[in-house]
Amino acid sequence: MEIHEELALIARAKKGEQAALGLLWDAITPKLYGYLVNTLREKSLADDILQNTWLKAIASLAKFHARGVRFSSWLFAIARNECRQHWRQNGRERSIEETNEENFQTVSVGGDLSEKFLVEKILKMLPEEDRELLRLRYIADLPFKEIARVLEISVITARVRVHRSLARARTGFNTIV
Amino acid sequence: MTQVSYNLKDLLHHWGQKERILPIGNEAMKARIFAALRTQNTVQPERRRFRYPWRIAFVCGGLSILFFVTQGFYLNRLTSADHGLNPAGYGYDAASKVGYQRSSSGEISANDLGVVYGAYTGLSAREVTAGGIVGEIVGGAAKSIGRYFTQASPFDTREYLKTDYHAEIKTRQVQKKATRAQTIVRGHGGRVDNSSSDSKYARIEFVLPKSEMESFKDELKELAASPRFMAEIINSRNLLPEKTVIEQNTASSQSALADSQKQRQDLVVSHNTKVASLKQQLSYTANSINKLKKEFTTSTERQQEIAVAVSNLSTEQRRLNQLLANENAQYQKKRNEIDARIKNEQEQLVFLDQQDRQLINNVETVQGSISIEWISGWGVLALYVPYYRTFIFIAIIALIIYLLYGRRRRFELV
Repeated sequence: MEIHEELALIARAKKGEQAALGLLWDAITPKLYGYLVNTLREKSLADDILQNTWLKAIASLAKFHARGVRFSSWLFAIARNECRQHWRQNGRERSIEETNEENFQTVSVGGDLSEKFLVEKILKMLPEEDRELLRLRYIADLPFKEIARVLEISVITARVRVHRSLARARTGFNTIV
Repeated sequence: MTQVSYNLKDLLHHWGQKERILPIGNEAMKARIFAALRTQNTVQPERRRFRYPWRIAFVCGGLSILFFVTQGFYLNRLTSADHGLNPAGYGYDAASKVGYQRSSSGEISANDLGVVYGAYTGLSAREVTAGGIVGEIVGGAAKSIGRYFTQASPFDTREYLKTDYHAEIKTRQVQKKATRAQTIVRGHGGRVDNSSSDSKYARIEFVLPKSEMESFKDELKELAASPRFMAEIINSRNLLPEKTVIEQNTASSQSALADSQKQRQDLVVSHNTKVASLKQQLSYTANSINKLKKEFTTSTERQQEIAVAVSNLSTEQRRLNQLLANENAQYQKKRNEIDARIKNEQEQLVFLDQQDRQLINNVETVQGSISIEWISGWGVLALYVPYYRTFIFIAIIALIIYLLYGRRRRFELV
């Protein structure tokens, strides 16, 4: 979805148009939910946080001012904040090492398991910061500018960090392949 | 490597796409959320909040700059005046007052010797300077010697401190305070040399015994409503170089006087010896003439011999008389010259002694001035409100407001 389309939908949603919200939901939720599942490693928890994120976002939609930032980035920022709150209250996330193959099968319905295992193996070798960057880049499909906004860093820093994460991932990839 | 990179990125892109999934029961969840929103009427208009607070920051910043500029202008106006409260102004004023101006070469100029001051007799507004006083003391000697002062020896630790005092008082009752200031000067055994006053400005120049200085200052401070309204400059300078010059000149004059007196004594002795010798010769000649004239003889030849001898002796007598007269004349001339020299040296010594006493008297007195200036209400405010601190304070407040409200936040997380 282009940014101008997104802005038009938000404008309609601010006026209380449910259909516009529905379109935004349909466009953003797969990325957001995929990101949450991959981050939290627990589908039910991801469901809860997805709902909370949308509820808070829609409730505070009037506060949202684009200022060159996409609505999806704002949602991802809220989602990250929700995750942090959850971890503060209930302890840290399940590590990626704890995830077993059954979870993968339940999580990635219809996915290419060999490819998924390969990526998960690579991700296991990376620090959490790199995993987060790769999630935002490839699951959330955010450009560097939006990643920078979500992580509250500069665009150049975001670009550098993503490239470094990719370099480390490449090392792991070469080791495995 | 490129192939690997392509494969990894491709793999990650593919993985990312596969990870994007909808939750089970997506439609039900969506409907549930939207229903909840409908019941809560969640999509509300933005509540009115304090908008554009950064504008206040700019206004505060602008005000602070305006305040800074106007205050700076006001203070500049104060300090640019001859009688400003600015210490820098004082410094300049004091420098001119003490009259201790060095030439570009670093030597003390003729002004420092007080030659200018020596030309006038009264104490005027600007020329009553320490340098002037110094000039009065040593100016004549310096001119007669024809050389400038040099620095005193670093091993000479004597101090002859000449103190100059200047006070600036801001008040709203100029003439009343000026009258009181004069009374204070006289009350401490001082002398008012010059005074002028009008409704806005008054100036009093005075001389005061050094011993009265501290009590005078204390009393003068009571004249000002608050210490903020008064500023003082006390300038002290060691007159040791001048003292050294006087001492050197005295020693030189004493030595010259002793030499002259010795010369006079030698001259008298020499003259007396010569006169005695000449008189002895004259006496012998006169006796010889008398003997020859008394000699009785009938011999014509002898009579001729006596006549020739008397003639020769008379000639010798005249020569000796001439020598005596010449000696007396030369003696008189030389003695007069030496006496004149002695008189000069004695006068010089008296003059140097007088200068020495004047220097000591000068050291024992304080030359000063009091400037009393009318102050406006704004001036009073400027004295009490430190403008630069106010500027910094307002600027900090502006910065805090900007940081708290003005800076655009990345996201307002709910």
